Amino acid sequence: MTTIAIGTEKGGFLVDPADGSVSDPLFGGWKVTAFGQSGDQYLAAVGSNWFGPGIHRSTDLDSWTAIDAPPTYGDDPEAKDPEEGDAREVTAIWTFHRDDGWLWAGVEQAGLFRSGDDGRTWESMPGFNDHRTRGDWHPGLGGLCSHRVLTYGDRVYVAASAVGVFRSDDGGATFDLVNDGIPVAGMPPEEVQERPETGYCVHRLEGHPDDPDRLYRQDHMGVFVSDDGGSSWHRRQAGLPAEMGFGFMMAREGSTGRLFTQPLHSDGQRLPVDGDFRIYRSDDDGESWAVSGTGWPEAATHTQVLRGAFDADGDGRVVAGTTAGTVWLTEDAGDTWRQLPGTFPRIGAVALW
Amino acid sequence: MTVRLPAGLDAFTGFTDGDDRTVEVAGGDLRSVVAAVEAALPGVAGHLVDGRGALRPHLLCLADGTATRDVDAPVGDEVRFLTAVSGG
Repeated sequence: MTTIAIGTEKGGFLVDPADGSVSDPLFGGWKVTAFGQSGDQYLAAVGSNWFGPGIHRSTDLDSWTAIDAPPTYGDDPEAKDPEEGDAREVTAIWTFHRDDGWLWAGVEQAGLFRSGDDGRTWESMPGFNDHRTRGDWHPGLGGLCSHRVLTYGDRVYVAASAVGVFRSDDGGATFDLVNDGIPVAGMPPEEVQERPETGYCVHRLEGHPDDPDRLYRQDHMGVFVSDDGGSSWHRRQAGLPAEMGFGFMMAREGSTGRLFTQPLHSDGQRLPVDGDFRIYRSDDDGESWAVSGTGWPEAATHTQVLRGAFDADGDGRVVAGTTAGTVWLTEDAGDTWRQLPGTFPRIGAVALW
Repeated sequence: MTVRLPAGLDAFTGFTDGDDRTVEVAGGDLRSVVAAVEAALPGVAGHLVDGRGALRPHLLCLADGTATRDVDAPVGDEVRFLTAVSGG
């Protein structure tokens, strides 16, 4: 049985796609920002303007327990003057990633943490959190956030907005920025005299399960692919209607290798082109894109899918939650889509469990 | 010393509707009260104060009925945490 976890501005929900049943709200009133799995634990990250971030864990999706010590910078030793407000603070948990050794978390304000006990306790990763370029890191509209972690043994990728993609080849001890080929957001190419090291607004990073060097990137400036671990990036957005290739999501379905994204009109509008809410699919590793299958609404549907609000498995399922609080599902790798029953608050996180 | 906690923290305190959401602790100033709340309800203090120990910006704190943000100010019989309208 598949359960779809939905994280919204005002709580979490569990949906059974087979019968459309919806759970009572989880953590009602709290923003649910990320989902994860580690060992026998399901994880839900929550946040609140009043109370800051937290993490709940469950083994049965019914009873949830808050951990005592979510990731924190503590009393930040790097702060020049805490009274001036330049101390780092963990304001939200944006993503979880589990590999053979560790559970990783990417956070806002941009940081990287990992846990060796399924999320009960966390350690800061100074090779990222105290990176030599940190003074030049600046937020995008969504905040200064580490929103994606991918690992392949000692190869670790972290995507941070609006900073760029980082790569480590020593298990996260040290990181290099890898963004060559990506235009600088907001700057016409002819006005870029010298490429800055940071300032790249990566929206979503996706990997290939069998090739640590293969990366797919939905960037503020378009859709890009890398064959060399991010050392160089190449634009791959033929067929997408979006100006510049703008969008937020990038997913790869495991059984087919198909890629999915949702093109938006432009960074200025951030709306579907002509009100046509459509997820697009590439069957050829990004070489070309077309509307994914059938089932899309005929009425104007001006909503979007945020970077954490979709998930794909290795069995044909891709799920996407929208800012309008609706949920779309395919169970045949994008040949047919349907909207699930229910309307929720703005959706920022989704998981297939 | 009675500490009254907001309903919004129920998912972390374990309180529910019908509870008075109070905890009895010892402490002479707000900082020590928060530490005592953490001892009584592990994991809760980090939702009242930030990593530097400062009161979270959208929380109100009434110490014996008087609003304060000074974690070093002396407190008497009751500390009450409330959610400010600005946070919601």
